[in-house]
Amino acid sequence: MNSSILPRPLPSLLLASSLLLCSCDRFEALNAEKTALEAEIVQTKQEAVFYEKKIASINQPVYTAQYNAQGQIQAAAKTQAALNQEISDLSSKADKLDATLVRLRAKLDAYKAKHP
Amino acid sequence: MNFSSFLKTLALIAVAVGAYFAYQYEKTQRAVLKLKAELLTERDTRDLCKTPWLEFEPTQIALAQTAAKTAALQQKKMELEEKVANSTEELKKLAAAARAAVDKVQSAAAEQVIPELKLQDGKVLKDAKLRKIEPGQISFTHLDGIGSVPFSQLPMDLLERLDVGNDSLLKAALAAELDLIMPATTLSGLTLKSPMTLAEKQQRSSIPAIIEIKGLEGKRSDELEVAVSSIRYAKGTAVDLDAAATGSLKAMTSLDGMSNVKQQSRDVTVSNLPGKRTSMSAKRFGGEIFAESLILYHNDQMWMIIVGYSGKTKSGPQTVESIFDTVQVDTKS
Repeated sequence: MNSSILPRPLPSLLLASSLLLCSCDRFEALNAEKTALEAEIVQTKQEAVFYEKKIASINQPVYTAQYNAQGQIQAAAKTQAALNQEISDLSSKADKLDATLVRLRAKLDAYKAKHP
Repeated sequence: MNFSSFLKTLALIAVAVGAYFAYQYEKTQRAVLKLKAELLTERDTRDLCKTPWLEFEPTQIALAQTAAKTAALQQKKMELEEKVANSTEELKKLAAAARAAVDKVQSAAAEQVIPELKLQDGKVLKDAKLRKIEPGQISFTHLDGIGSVPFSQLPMDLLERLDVGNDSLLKAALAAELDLIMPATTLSGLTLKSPMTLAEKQQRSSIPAIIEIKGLEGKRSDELEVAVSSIRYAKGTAVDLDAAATGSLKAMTSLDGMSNVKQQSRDVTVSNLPGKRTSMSAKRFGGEIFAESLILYHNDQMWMIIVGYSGKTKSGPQTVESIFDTVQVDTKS
């Protein structure tokens, strides 16, 4: 029997082999994509857990915490301005006291030396 | 099996393998699509926490940095407060040492007789003995009796030894104590520093021209008293500063047991305002009593500062001078 439902063997084999070879490359690329996607999903889940823990650590809704923190920063800025003023006044007083002590000590020493 | 059959078999196997791979490929493709969808969902889930956290994190860092800066400033303030407290204590000790050194010299001088005390105007006091140091003058006993000599008439070496006059060590120490330790007190635009805290004192006047009167006063354990008054007159009231100066110490000169009252006034200028300075000394119940007043006037407003002290008061004259040296009037207020 010369007639067959199958194609002629040699060209068919060549065609099938070529298709198989081409498919192999695409399949590998697809598998690589799948692996990468799986890895990214794992990483994304880990990140989600990481950020969930971060948010849980502040013990309040994050937008409330943001609002409160901004309020605290503004209040701290006022406190710092007042502290800076107090420090400036105290520094000035400390310098004045030091200078006065040096001057008075010299005056007292001179007086004592002259009138023992 | 001939070659043709072999090829056919091979072709069949190739087709079967191809079909298998085609199936696997499609299956993987579906899995990839599912994974992509899952990744998008996971990203959305993650971003629900990540986005607000990334918005909040800089604020949290800024808050931590702010808290650290505030803590550093508070630490610096505490260190400076400690330094100022230590220096203040040192200044008090130095002032006490100055007082002791001057007291020692003055006590020794009170025991000495100066055979000839030559004054600047050429007069000579024979066998002069220091009796008392008063504001602006020194009282001596001498062969001809008792007399007070203004500082300006005394020899420089004596003034320097008794530590009186403008270059006084004790006055400098007291002024430094007032300037650097005591807070300033203000009354109707007049500012001064006192060695003790001044408290408000209710004052009333029956004089119709006086529309407002305010007062402050304070006492120290060694009989030093400071009183400050602010008197506002009705617009256009003619005010006699001489009469005010004399009257300023009336409350003291009219005290029971006062004798040998001596009082004198002189013109002064403070903060470019004309004023009167009055000194009073008297004997009372076997001891001595002194008072100094300073009166200033500007635009229907009079200020009166009275410092009273006794012989028991430590460095009375120098303390008075130190207090009056701190007086300032803000005429703009």
